[in-house]
Amino acid sequence: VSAIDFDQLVDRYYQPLYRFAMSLAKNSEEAADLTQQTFFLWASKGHQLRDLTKSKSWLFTTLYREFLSTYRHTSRFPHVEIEEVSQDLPTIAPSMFNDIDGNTVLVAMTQVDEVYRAPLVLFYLDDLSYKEIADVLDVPIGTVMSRLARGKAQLRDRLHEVCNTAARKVVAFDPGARQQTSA
Amino acid sequence: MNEESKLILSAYRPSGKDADDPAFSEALAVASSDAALGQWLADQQAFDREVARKLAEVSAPAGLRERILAGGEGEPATTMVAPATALDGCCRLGAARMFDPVDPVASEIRYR
Repeated sequence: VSAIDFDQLVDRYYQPLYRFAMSLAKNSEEAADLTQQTFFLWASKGHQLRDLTKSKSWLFTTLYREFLSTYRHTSRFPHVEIEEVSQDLPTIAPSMFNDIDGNTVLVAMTQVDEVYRAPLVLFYLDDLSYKEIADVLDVPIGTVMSRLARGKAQLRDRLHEVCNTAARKVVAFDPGARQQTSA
Repeated sequence: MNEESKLILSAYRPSGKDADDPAFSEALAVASSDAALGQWLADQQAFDREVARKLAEVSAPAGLRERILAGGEGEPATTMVAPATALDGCCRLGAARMFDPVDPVASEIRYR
């Protein structure tokens, strides 16, 4: 691949790859390293790809494998029960998102079980279809669907907690109460 | 409510990029005729759109692009030291245990 192609590839994918890495590693430095390492591997091995249109999946797959082989700290995946999808979920009004920023959403996402987190972040990055996510994670399509459903349920729970915690921190100013206290 | 349709529609991206994928056709048709499922899908899509929008706000640290481009010319990620760090951590932990006066294992080693 030419230098220009490599630059274009970096410009197109380094941000979403970093976000994916950040959700996995939960650490900005490691996420940056994972992203850099992925492109380094592309530069040294990517030319072996015959179909350059598959570069996107290759990059996400490589980053995920690098994470699993080098950084991953947990070793067991919980068993996925499809029935869990039908649990009642907390309601989160779209307006609640006005009070939180992207990093807060990312933090909530890092609290989702790892087995659900990887497909969930890939889904929200919007670059890959569920079929491509299945290829990246090397799992069947049905597994991606069930993990997305369960992961979204967990994310709603975590975000609900985050939003409630943020709301509790906002203390209403009550001058009357202050006067009583000081009296 | 149709649980199978909900499972399938969980993978339907709110950006509309999956609109032409026939795998979703049947579930979308069910959602358009089932009011409860339709409402569930609308809520799900609104939630998904907000999460995707917020996630897109997260930016890579300054200088990462330049590091990557420089790395593409032959330098691997310079701080990929996780195994060494782990080994270093084990050594430190071992040393701490050896010299911890209240650690029974360390005490046993010291006075044996």
